[in-house]
Amino acid sequence: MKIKVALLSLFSIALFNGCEDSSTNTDSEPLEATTVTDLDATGTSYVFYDFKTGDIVANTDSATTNWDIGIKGATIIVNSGVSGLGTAAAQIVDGLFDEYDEAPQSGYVSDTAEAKAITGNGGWYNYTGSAETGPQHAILPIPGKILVFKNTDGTYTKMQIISYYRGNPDTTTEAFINRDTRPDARVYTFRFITQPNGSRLF
Amino acid sequence: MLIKLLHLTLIFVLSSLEMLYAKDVIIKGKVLGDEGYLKGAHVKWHQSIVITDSTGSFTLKSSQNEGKIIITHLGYERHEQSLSITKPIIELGAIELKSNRIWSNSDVVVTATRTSKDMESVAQPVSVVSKKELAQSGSLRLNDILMEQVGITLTSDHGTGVQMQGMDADYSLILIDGQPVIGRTSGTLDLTRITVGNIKQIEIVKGPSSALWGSDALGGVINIITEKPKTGFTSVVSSRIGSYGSQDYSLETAYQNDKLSQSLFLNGNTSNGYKLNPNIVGNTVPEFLNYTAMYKGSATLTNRVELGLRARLYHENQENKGQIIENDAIRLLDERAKQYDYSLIPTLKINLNSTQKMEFIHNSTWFGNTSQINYADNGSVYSESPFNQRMHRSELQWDAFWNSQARTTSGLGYTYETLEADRYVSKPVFKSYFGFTQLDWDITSNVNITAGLRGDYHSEYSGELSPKFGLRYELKENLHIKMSIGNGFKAPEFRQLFLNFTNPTSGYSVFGTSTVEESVQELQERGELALVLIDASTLQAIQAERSFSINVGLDYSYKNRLRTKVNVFRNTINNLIDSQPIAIKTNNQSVYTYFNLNEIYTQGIEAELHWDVIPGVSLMSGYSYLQAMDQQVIDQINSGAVYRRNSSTNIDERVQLADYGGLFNRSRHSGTLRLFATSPDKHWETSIRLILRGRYGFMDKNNNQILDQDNEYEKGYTLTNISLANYPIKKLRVQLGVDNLFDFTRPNQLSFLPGRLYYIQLNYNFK
Repeated sequence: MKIKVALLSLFSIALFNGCEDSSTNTDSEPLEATTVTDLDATGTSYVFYDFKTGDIVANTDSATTNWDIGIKGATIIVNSGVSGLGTAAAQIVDGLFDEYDEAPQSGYVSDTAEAKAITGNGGWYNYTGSAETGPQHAILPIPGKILVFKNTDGTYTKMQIISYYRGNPDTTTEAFINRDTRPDARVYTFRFITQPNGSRLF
Repeated sequence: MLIKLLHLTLIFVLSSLEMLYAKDVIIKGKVLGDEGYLKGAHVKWHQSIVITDSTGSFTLKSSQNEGKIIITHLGYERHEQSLSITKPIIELGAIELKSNRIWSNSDVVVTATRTSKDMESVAQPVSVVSKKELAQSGSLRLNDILMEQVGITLTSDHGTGVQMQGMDADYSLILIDGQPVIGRTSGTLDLTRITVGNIKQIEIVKGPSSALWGSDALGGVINIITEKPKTGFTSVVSSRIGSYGSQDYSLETAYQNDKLSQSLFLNGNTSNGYKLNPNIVGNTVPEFLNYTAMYKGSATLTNRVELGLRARLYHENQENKGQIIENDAIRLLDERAKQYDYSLIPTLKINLNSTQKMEFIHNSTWFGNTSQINYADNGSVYSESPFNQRMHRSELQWDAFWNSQARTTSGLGYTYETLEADRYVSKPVFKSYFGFTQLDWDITSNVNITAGLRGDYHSEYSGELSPKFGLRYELKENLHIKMSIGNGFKAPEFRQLFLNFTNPTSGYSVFGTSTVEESVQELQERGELALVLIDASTLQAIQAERSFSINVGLDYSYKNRLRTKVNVFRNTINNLIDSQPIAIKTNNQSVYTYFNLNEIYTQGIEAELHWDVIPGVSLMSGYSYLQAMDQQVIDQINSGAVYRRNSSTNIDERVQLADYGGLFNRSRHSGTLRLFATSPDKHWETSIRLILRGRYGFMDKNNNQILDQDNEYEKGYTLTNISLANYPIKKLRVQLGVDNLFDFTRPNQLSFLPGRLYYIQLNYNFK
């Protein structure tokens, strides 16, 4: 009985704290980040994702504007230009995801035949290659990189790629450095916030 | 310039005339110092000044027959003697000068000023490793002994190199008898190539010396002075066997008389190599066998002309095993590497008169290596990469003593270098010219300044001017203050200008700055580029890496038993050359070229203490504090633009300046503690040497490429080396030793450290 009470009070403290956090937010409608864990992009075709619904879009819908981004391996496409029928555009900016509160006004580009809007190696990740120390042939997201999307419907999304490996592993461990025990690649964990009211403020 | 030249010519002519007409009396004598004949003492009689030769002798001619003869030498008290000459030739005999040095057995060094000078009268931080210290430490190769010196850290990167004043192995110059050793791999000149068997002393000058030595002398200069023959026949044989199948044999034989000097040194060195990581096929250090032969000869043709020849041959064979995975099958490889280094150095010394001398030196050096990798199963070639570098340098040095206080050292030279390697499209050629001059002036009896300037003009990049200034002030007899400021530079290397390399397995490419534009264009035409990050045609010409440095030091002695040296330094290095991607290929690999990118600074304090505890027992300790920082990283952190990943959550954080640990592989604290003892009957010698190294940054673990977290450091370590030697008969020395007594290894980082090593060494002196 005593334990139950203790647990209850702990729970209420947590709830109370949660309420306090949201009440300090100055926005009329606080935006919460959606975290997607282990999105499997190991296949041979793109996995399409819709920021509004937070769902994967069927591959048969590739020629629609139902999706915002597509992921295959280490490549991320936006729904525009050579990649889709939409008008989406994107850019990578520097900053901390939680602090980043305003999407840039300009600087967005669409996918072209020469280059994708989202640069992979050197853009949002570093490929370690035959590094002399640490994990080899690994794709490690660069800290402080935020992907900002201007979606086809005019809304803005900020996104941070947390992991390229199944289970969001600690990439400093021996288990990760050893390629035999390294978790599957091309399995994403990421978080994002979309501002539904069309403003650039998150 | 012209006026100065005329002025010098005038002095030259006048002094020659003076010698022609002044023939009335001749004064002869010999000057002795602490260790016998004193070379370079100034003997003044009225207006004439002569300098003593290598046997301490001098001969003065003068029309004056009454007056005072004054003899001076740095580090000695002034000697004055009144003379009244009645005979045409007067023989003064031996004149002994009394030492006024801080260190009674101060070494004479040449590296700091390109002329012989007492170590303690040099404005720059200098240290000397003596032959005795080399013997007691049981060192075989240059890396063995440098490791035990304060402020020097060994590094492993395509060979064993040195880090001095926080600067990488690329930024130090290695000389043998004042001539550069060439043949660097990825910037490192492998110290294991150099045997210490015939070394008289090793001179280490820290801080920049480009004003005298040109390129590469930023962090410091290490000059290996080989043994000079002693009068008559001398021969020494030595042999040593030790753990890991290591064997070393040397023969040193020399002859000298008044006119002729000959010496020959032969060395053979082999080891089975060693393996530190059991999971890797092949050895950490491969099995090797190398030979060194050195010849030094000189002949005095006339009183004024000496002809010399030095030759050095080095050859090494290495064997190792490796493996690769091809089509999912493991295939074993046989790796064979050969390395050679030959040099031929003729010299001509001319004593123009008693106060001026000229030396002409030519140096032709051939360096090369071949690495051949074959499949072990069928013997077919997996890869073969020859690398051949040639250097031809001619230089002329002119030393002039203007009076007993001032002397100048000047020189001119030309260098021609070529390279042949499969990673280079053509056969690149470097041509460079240089000229330098230096004034060394004792303004008063306790103030000395040195000022110098050197210009280097190069065929492939813009020229460099390197000034230096040094000041030494004797505050008290036992307290000296030293200060030196100057520039150092490092010319772009062949690879940074001409490399054309595509990794056959992973497919990335690296191009030198001279070849990048057309190479990128070729890739583009072949459709191999996915994205161009920087337009190659907009790239600026690469420039030399440049440093500006200041060193301030203090030498203090207490009753000649306790000597301390403290030096504070700061180096700012600009235009550091680093590779950066300029394009991404369709295979997702990058195309790199070289840029003048970063600015770093290194600063710190080095302190040395030498204490003669009791006669025969010396304690030497040293401590080094070092900070080595990348200025760009500091600026970025200050603007809040450096982030890191928290490894447990993979969420990003901002890096604070206090977290930044500077450049990787630098220990903030390091030191040495060494005890050398000789028994009163001189039959026994022993040494205990501790090398201490504090924690150092090892690798980035939170994906921001900088050192900013505790788990990115490696722990510090201590190495303990001991030795014991005995002379059963006077000519024979038997030494037993253990290096790395506590068997410390760090397989993936410190490949130069084989674990515990026992050895026994015999030296027999035939003299």
